[in-house]
Amino acid sequence: MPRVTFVTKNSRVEVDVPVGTSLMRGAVSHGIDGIIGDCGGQLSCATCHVIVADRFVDKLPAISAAESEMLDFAATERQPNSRLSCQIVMTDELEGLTVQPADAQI
Amino acid sequence: MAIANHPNTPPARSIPDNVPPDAVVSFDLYAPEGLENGLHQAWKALQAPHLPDLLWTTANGGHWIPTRARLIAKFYQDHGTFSSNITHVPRERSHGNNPIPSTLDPPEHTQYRALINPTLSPKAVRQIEPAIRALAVSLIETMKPKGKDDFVVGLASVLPLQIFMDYARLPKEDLPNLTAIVQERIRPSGKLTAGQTLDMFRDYLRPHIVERMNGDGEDILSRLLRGKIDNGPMPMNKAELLCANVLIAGLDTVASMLGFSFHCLARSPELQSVLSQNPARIPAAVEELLRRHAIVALARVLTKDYNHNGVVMKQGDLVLLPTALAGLDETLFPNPLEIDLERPRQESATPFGIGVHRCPGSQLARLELRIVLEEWFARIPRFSLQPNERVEFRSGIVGSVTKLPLQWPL
Repeated sequence: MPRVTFVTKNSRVEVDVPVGTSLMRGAVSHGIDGIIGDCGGQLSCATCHVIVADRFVDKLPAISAAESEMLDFAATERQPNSRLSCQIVMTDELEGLTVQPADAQI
Repeated sequence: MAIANHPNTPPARSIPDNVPPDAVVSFDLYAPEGLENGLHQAWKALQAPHLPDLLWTTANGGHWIPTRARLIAKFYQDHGTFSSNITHVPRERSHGNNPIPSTLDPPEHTQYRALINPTLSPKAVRQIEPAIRALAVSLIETMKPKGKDDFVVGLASVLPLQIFMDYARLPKEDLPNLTAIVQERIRPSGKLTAGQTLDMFRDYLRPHIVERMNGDGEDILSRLLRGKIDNGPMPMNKAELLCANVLIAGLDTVASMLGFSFHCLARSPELQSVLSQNPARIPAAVEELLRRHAIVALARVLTKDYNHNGVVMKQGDLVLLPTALAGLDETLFPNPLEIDLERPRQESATPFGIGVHRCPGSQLARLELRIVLEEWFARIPRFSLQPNERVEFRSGIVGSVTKLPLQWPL
């Protein structure tokens, strides 16, 4: 099961997220601070915004038009490596994935 | 439970053969038994231990009611089986009622919903925050020197509505007329069907839509109307149904949630102490108040037969999905009637619904609730219900507190 590291100002938390599960779902089920996922992955709330470590950006699926639009409307200004974690479905290639939850989700 | 004699209740039909006898109740959404003691207590009776988790009520033309959080969420999420083509019971009341997108299913629903999401996103809502705070402060400062007031009149029925009218750039003088139509729609006297109230909204909105079409306004209606449908401009009839849907959903719900929240807080001196001494606990309180007092109950219509543990729900049957019961499910939330700020966050509390129709205004609702609590406790840390005055509750598509007399030391 791939391991994911969530980096916040004060902590690094490592959790295992099953292949096929979204990063948002993995974060919420482990109670990771700073990931809300209010809409359950429907691309309608922009509250699971993460900044992805550079080395993983190219391993992620492409950003859809709908995800891109919601990122534009997230509470924290979008950055080049911004993604909505509900759209990142875990694969074995994402072993070691490191992300930083956006400073504010709401 | 007796069938309430209510103008919305068509004559009781015979109970269909597919309904198990032990699932039959007579719960009337618009006049539940025991409402005078509190809306959520009235709902809670449907979770009595001897009752199955899928009930059939004979009221309002007869419809199913799932009573447990996971089942309610499952039905909301399965839009292929549980269609939004009918969202109000009884089905006669839904005739001609087709606001967009709340009565559409995917894929038709998707492109309209995508237009709404950015207008109520975290970023959009943050831009409204200073206006919400200024209005909250002003209303509370007006109430405070009186020492007592009806919270509904002084704040709950004013703040969210004025904020929404501002965001829609509609004249505040129109509010009494619009709220009267909304109330007839969701807590009906029986005079008008949901379709007729929708038509009244369309008539009201038409000139405002014409004025905004092709404009560059930043109000929510202008932003929606700039949206493309099927790669072309939005047809006028769709524009009316979309704007009406947003207005209907935006005008009543937060007012109701504020009422239930303050009714609860007025009877909880311990919670008042915590929140006035430690405002950092307010966001946790917001989540608990939302879980404890979910207010929306929308219907769905079955597109095909569905088997739940051997009980067959038939194509065409209606099912009512009460968010109130999801948050009160003691199998997921021990002591569900208690506000517990330490309660672990659970996805199963779905005060905003779940699935493709989940309330897009949830961040605005949370923000308004948080700001009102912050500004209230900074000024009125102790308050209670006025003795010898009645609190009044109403039930319907959206439950509400219509009278809440509070008092506080001067």
